[in-house]
Amino acid sequence: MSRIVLVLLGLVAAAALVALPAFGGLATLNLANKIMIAAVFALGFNLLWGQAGLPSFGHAAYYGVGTFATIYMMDAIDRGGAFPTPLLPLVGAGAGFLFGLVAGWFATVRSGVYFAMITVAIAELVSALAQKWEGLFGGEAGIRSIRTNWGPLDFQSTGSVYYLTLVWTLIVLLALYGLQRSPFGLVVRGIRERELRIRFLGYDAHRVKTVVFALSAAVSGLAGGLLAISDESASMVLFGGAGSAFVVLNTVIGGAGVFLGPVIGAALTTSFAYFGSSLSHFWPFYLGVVFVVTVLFAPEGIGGAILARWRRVRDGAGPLIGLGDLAGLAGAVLAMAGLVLLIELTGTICSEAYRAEIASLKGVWPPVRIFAISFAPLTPWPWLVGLVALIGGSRLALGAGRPILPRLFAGRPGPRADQTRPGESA
Amino acid sequence: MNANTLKLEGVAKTFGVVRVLEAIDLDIRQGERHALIGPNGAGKSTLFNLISGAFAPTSGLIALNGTSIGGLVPHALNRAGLGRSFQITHVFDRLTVRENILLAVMGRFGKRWSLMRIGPVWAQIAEETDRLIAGANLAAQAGKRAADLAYSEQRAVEICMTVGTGASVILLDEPTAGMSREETRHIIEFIRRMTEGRTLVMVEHDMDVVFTLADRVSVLVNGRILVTGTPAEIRSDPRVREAYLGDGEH
Repeated sequence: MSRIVLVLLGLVAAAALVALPAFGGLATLNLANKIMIAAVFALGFNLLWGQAGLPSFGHAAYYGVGTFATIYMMDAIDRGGAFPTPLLPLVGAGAGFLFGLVAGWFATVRSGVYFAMITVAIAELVSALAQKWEGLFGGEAGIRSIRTNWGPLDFQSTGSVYYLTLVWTLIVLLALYGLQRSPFGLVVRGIRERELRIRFLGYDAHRVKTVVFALSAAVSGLAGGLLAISDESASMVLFGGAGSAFVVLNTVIGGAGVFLGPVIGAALTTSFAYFGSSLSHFWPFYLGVVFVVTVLFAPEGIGGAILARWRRVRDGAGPLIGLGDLAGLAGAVLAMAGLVLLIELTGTICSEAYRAEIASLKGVWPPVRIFAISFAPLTPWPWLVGLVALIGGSRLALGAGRPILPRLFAGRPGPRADQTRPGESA
Repeated sequence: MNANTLKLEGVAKTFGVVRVLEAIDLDIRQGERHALIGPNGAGKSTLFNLISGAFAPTSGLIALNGTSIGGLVPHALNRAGLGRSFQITHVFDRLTVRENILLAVMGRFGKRWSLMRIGPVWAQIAEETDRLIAGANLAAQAGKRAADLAYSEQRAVEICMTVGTGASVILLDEPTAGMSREETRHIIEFIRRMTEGRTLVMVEHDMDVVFTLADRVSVLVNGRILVTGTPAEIRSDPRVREAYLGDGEH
């Protein structure tokens, strides 16, 4: 029964994805491309983290190498090279794999924090190299190339890039799913659980980890290749710490223990950045809040929370959405509104532009407009309302406010009662 | 030609200036169950770690079936035919019981890099895995995560894994540590059954376990083997009584 539901959901999703260019505008397609690229990158990262238990904090290196390798191949095609354009992401994957093989061999000598430090060091090394070596990486301006059509296939429109990206995303999804379920995938999870045991069962753990690292780097490089195809450019900014941080963020928010978790995380944060950046200067702050709240209250990520909820419904242990959840949701919305009010007020009155405005008005503080509502920053009311909403909403969301509510929610499992154990996998 | 499956000759281990083991000679015969006993600090654990490859000996020879294994890395040791269990249970917590044991059996059949379960060997692997699970009375638990098992069941999984790698020599580090009398009785019976026809070397504190399970016993005192003999010989040996068993009550 549930399997049928899942298959149906999958089919609906697939149909929607295939039909997207028919009804989505250019902006939608661009967003979808960005999401898919971030999703592939996060899936590659999570092969290493979620499956092998190795936290790499320098994965931008492999992503960037994939992008540059692909740009150079696009250039070669442009000059008459025979490489088929649809297979370009494989160039990124290949470059990521080779680089990952070398970097992974060194990094996986250690585990845990030490492993993470080595990955950071390698990424910094590559980043420094990219800044110095202008001939190869193009300096500040980066390097550009163009997509060349291949046979009957035209790659000039955003729609065609969308389909190419979609096909590769599905290939990566299927391949990684297969890998995870394969006997080799079992060995990889065994390393995550207890490496010493794996070694005493006759497996060369270092070699396995090196290969997993290289595969993870290959998928990251493939994502980089998709980016190259989509943007037709590459620059050293790719190697910066932000890339490495975002992929961790995506995976944590989505849930490392759930196969589709990184995809969920990538979709959410990419959309958040896309819409949020046009709504507020402070969107990275809000993203940070989402990250912290996820780590604190849903350590298994959104994917993990969905899975836990689904299991609860399946086992008949509770409804899909109870009254307690609605109260929690209302509390969360209220708290978020309060937080946004406080942050926007503070952020605006601290900005250069606002100081300039005060100066031009000879010391009078103009009202602050937030979503078409004016607030007087020198009166206590906006601050008070924001604080009350934030605190009251948080209390309600955390369940602390429930006892003061009527018996409405008595006996209902709260939103915190359904957490899975850390790291539970799908 | 060589009846001694595991042979130690003049094995010594020094940590800094501390000499933990000096000149250990030990012959473990094919198919026997050999227990290492001795008071705390005698060097049992160090000796166990040397044989199982956790440390390399400072000097001396450790040979398995006639080839030196001193200082080999764990996976090479395992492939040479040596399996070990751990004093603190080393199961894969978030994998199912079946997956735990499957990992051991897969490796034995050389399927360490398989992406698919294709070919007749996988039927054999499944059969062997099921046989081990049934042998450990874990059939009903096969789909549970190892972390959700009772302690004694985890020990059984641990021993299944050690046996499942197909090792000819099996090292058990205090297999009954932390178990009740009842559980101990079960696990001894289980070890006896599972290691039939294999060579067994174990470190064990529980004298009842040692005297019921072992064919021969070596007593380690102050980094040296004091005496090796059958349980009866050890029990009646005055040096052992003095050095280790004390008044004989344990």
